[in-house]
Amino acid sequence: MPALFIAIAVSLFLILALFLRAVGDGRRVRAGVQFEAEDDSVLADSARPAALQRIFARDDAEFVAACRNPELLELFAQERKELALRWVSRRRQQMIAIMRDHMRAARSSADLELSSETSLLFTYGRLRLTCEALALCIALFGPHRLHAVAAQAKSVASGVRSLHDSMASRRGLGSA
Amino acid sequence: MHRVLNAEVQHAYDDLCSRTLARIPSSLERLIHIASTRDYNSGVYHHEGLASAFGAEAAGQAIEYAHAETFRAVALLPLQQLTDELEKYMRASRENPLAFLKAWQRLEPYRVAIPMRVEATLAELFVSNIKLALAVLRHRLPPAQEQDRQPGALPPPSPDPQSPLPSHN
Repeated sequence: MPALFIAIAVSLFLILALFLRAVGDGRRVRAGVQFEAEDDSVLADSARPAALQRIFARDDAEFVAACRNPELLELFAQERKELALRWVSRRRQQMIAIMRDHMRAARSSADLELSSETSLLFTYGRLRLTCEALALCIALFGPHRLHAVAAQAKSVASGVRSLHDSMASRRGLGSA
Repeated sequence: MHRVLNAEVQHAYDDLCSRTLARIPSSLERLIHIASTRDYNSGVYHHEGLASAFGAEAAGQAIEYAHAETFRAVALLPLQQLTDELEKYMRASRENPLAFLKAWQRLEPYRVAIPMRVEATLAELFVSNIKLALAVLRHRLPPAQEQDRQPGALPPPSPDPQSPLPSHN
């Protein structure tokens, strides 16, 4: 029984350490953000998957690996990780902004439906959780080693858009 | 970028593509050429021939559209292809390769090729891929040319985005 408790404690500690590392990476990346999305391209950026596909592209990783230079490999891993973490960070900020706008509109709405609001909240929570899991995986392994994660990232991008659309349509119904 | 252009701008764009851009062999060179027509201070594009034929406004919009299209194409190039294009551009410049690579790594002149309105991820991907392509080209230089090769052969860290000046470590 004590072994079980020790195992649980070690697991929790490990998860906490990984989480703090991912958060730290995210902060370092955010400090270096160089390009701010234009207001009108906020959702366009998440809707266009071409750039995202290139971040996770296998052929780029293979090309750099073929150079057989550890410094190059390290630079590639670092650059790709930063790009991917910035992308995740933007999606997170978009979700927060969408939710904040919705909450503001919902406060003045007279006909809120509990079921649809709960559903929206659930979708928001699921997307945020996926985002955090993505950030953790990218911070730990780097996007170039996680080709399967690309699909997950794409689902976050389309999820942000549908969350935005759902909330906009709810607001439209509420104000009608 | 899937913008609907009005007829005049579309004609100016077609003219630009067929008369000027078609003669430039690589997409990276096309991008650098288009970016060079933009005023650094105002962000407005100038092209005498195009402006006299279609008017300054239509010409400016056509070049802006061509810039966005070409930038998107270059930013999404596979790293190997971008490296090849950059190497061709470097050879065509007739500059000493080491001097060229050092200048591009230190001064980051490629940043002026980024359009004003662009997806943030795309702009970052472009900058990152150029950095990587420069590092690959520097790695490929013969040892005789790389006399002062140190860990600094890889690009220096990006300058503080708040600072208007590039870093010089």
